[in-house]
Amino acid sequence: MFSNPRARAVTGFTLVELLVVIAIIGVMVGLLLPAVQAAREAARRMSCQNQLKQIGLALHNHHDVFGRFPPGAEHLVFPRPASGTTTVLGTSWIVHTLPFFEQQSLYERYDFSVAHNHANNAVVGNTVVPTIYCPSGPAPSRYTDPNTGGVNGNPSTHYLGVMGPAGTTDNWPVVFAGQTYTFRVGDAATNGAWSFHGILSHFRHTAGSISTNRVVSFRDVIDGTSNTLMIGERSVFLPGNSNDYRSWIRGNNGGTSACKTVMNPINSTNYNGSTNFNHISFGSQHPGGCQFVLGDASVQFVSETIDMALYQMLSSMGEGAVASLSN
Amino acid sequence: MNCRFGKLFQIPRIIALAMLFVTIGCGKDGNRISGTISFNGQPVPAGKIYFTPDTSKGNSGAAGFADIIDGKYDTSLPGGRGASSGAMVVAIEGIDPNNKPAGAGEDVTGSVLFPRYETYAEIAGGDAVQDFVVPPEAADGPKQPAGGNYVSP
Repeated sequence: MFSNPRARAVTGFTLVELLVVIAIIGVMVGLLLPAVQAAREAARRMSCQNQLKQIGLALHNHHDVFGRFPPGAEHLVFPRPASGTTTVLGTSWIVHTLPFFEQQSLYERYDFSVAHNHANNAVVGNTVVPTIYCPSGPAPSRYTDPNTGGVNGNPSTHYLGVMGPAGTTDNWPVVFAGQTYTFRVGDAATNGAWSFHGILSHFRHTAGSISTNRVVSFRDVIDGTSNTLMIGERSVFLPGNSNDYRSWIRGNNGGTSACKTVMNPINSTNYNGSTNFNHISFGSQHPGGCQFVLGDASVQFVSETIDMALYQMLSSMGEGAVASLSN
Repeated sequence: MNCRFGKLFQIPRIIALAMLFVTIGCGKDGNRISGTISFNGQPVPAGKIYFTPDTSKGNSGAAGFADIIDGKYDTSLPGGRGASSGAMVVAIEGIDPNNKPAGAGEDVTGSVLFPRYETYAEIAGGDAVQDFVVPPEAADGPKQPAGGNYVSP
């Protein structure tokens, strides 16, 4: 059939031609695939931005209705409606904000007369609210609250309140632009450490703490809402079998699950099992940093290489320094 | 091998070029810092070390950090990031991961060897090796004078 060798050489492809074509296609796919992945990540980041914007606006709407921001993490509060002087473990800012991002029905099912980990609040706690999960981060079902007391297995949140700058002692000094600013830190040596200077931070009804009946409204944000971090992301995958994500409805219960301080660099710190539960760092799967909602409800990407002193100053609402994301 | 592209493809030259590209392309972010950390003569089993530029000495820039594993740390390993250079505040957290204190809350799985201990170091550019010995008095925690600022123990 192929008696004429010349005819065969003209009609077929040689091995070299085939290899060259495969190599070219390989190079082109190799160039294209990362671009597709990057475009997907960009889309997820925009989706995350959109959700953060919604939550920022929800906090503003809360302020419009109540004249104050919701408490970031309630500790010991009097039950609502009030019943004597007994106290319960309070709830997170997310629960208080629910009616302002179209979750009114969930809000109405929440029982404020009992603790966040009471069986009455199991249904609300087990509900996945899609707005509080970054699409680049782990799925809501990936890390559920491992604590066995009370409500078990609740999903977590990827969006955490910024409690403000913290250190290992009260009156923690931060030197910024040649000046020293000192910050009040509550329970500095324990898991429940918190800062007095963030928009969303601790709150309690019981006396004896600087967080007693602490209320924050726009007038307290002296540095300007455009220069103060309000909500940040923590949507990272954790190494091994560790899990430090806690229920999204939890206020302060030893440590705080829906708020963190600014003490460690972005994308640096997971829970060490002992002392740093409230100092777990903000972070995300977005390359190079994570997103924050500022007090004016704008969403900004903050690089993980941001200067630590600037980062801490930004997280504080009232020290009177000119700290801005643009410097 | 009798290759007629011998003039165009010379394997050693290609390898040399590839290595050149790889070395140029793999620029590190920050300086790698590594070393050992001990407390009371023992290696610190777990924890974290942070290198934050000392703003009181005019330094600024990105902070570096590393996990402490069996008394060693290396900012180039997973869980770490290289630091900028210059005067640094070094914060060290030492954890005993398998020793839960009695009566601790359900979130707690380990115990503290010493509270977050801060010291100072000068980090040169390039790969730096820096060993730290945490003094025994670090277990008492940071000292805070009545009216004054935080003082490292």
